[in-house]
Amino acid sequence: MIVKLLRAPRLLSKCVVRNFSAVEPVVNLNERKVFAKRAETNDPATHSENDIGKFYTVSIEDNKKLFSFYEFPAQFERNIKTFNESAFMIREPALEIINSLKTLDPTKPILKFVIYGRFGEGKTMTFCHICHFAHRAGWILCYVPTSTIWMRWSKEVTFSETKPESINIPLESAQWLRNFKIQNADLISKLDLRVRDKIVWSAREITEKDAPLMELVDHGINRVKYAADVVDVLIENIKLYSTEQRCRTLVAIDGFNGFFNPKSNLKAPDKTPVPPLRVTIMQSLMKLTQADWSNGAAVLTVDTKNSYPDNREFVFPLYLLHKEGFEHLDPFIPVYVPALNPKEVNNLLDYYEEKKWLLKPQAREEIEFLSTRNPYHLTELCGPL
Amino acid sequence: MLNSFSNLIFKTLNPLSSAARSANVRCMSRYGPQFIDPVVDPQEQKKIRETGDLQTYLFRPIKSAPGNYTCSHYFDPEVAKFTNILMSGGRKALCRELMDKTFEQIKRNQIERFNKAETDEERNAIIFDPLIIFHKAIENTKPIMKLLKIKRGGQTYQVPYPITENEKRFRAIKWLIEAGNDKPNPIHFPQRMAIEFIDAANNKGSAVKRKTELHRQCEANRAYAHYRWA
Repeated sequence: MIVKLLRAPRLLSKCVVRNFSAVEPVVNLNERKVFAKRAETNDPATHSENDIGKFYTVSIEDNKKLFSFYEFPAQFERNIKTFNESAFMIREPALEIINSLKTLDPTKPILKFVIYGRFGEGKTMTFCHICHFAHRAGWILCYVPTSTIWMRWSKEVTFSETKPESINIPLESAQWLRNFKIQNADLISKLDLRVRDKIVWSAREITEKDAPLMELVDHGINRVKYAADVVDVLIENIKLYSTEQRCRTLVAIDGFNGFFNPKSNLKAPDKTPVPPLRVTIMQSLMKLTQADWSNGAAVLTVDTKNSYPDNREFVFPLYLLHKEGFEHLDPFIPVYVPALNPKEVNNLLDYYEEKKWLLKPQAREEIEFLSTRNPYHLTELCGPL
Repeated sequence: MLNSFSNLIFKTLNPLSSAARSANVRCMSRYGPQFIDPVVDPQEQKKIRETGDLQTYLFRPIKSAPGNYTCSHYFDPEVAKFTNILMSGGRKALCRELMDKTFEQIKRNQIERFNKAETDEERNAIIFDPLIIFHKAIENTKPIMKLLKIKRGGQTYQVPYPITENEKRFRAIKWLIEAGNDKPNPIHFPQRMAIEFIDAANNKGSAVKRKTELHRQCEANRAYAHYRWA
């Protein structure tokens, strides 16, 4: 919106613009060859502070495995298709969190990070960067991008049979399980994790004790009716195995403040309104962010887009999570994602020039000024040039 | 001595030349015939300063620049004209957004084509700059004649007429916009428009087809051309 206003010629003082453009030389694109700075390795575990502002590439397999079901921000998704690669910029907040994940004390209760910041400045990309690190480092991922999508509309809403007054969204629960399977199947079969207790679903359907954990997940995917209960059992199992130090787990939830909204668009079968915390899968995910287990970490983001419209004024965690969410998470480490610094802007514009996305290098200063170094707006502003 | 560039400016802007007076100065104009047009493009301003032609501009009254003109890198007079013709109901912000998205889409299409290309020849033939494609498309869509209905002896004839530069541009833009609007439902305007621009720049597409169709009719009706006078 701000960018739109700035672009309106009558509102932008002409002398401001003139400062940028009047004396610039004409640049011949064929002669000018710019390459963005890239990190030496593509493994996020090896990056250090010297790599801040540089790019690293996420391989196609990792991309498909981690980010196929639910996606990146739409703009980044479009750019992956156009540029034929997905390159992340290494930034300070992500490095900070990755460094503390590397030196995690397995006996202490889980660490909780709450990423916050203004729209378009890289919260979700930081979040994806950390997920990629965790995946490469052999962590089990419990990955939920935008839980509020489940709260908008659901094809099937039923009453839960196991939990009184709660409701199930079985299709979405099954989809989450499918996603979990794609991300973690190899790792869990390598670690040889098994179901701890015998579970009787019905007279004919029984999950035996010591069956592979993936068998349980498959049961949830095949019998959608039980998907929400399977999620609950799976999460309990993973928590216990982590505490026993047989695996490490990263809980990654984008838009965590959506859990504490006063209401959602869902309607129960008896037409009563459903707040997010009345949904069983949300209750199960809430268990993951409690501090009653160890050898794990939770990386959460809070975002104004996941709040109700009357609650979007500030970006701070206390404001967005309300008192209820704040007390649930406390203690946590807030991590602020700021706008790009001049060095990062320079490298980002170099990257766009390398990819032939920015064809007027003489407009670099103007873009930087108009975008206020917000990477989302910067990419938008590079579009027509 | 004036070099060729300033000569060009001088010829078109010189208030004393009769052609300029008849074409540019309206009778109720705010500006008298001695006023000259402003030069808004920073590149041209720089050229004027370097070549020393500034002297010719120093003691001349200059018209104020149009309200929608800026020195921004996003500005192009031809694109501004296109935006204005695209606009309906005064929704200029929307149209500007649509144009930006169109250019973005052109670039996306071309970069994807570049990535898919197999030989160097194909790669070198691809133009990335959406502005160049835009100008080429309009140039290729401009007709050189038009048909007017004239009644002679109780019968109407389609008579070919020559048209002015302004009208050529208007016809080209109008046809391009109509081609962009003619799309199946799930496709958005910028996507369709981008395809249309790229096609027109390569002398293909429905807008160029309309131009050639008009030329064909003018050719067929050349026998009626004398009805313009008689």
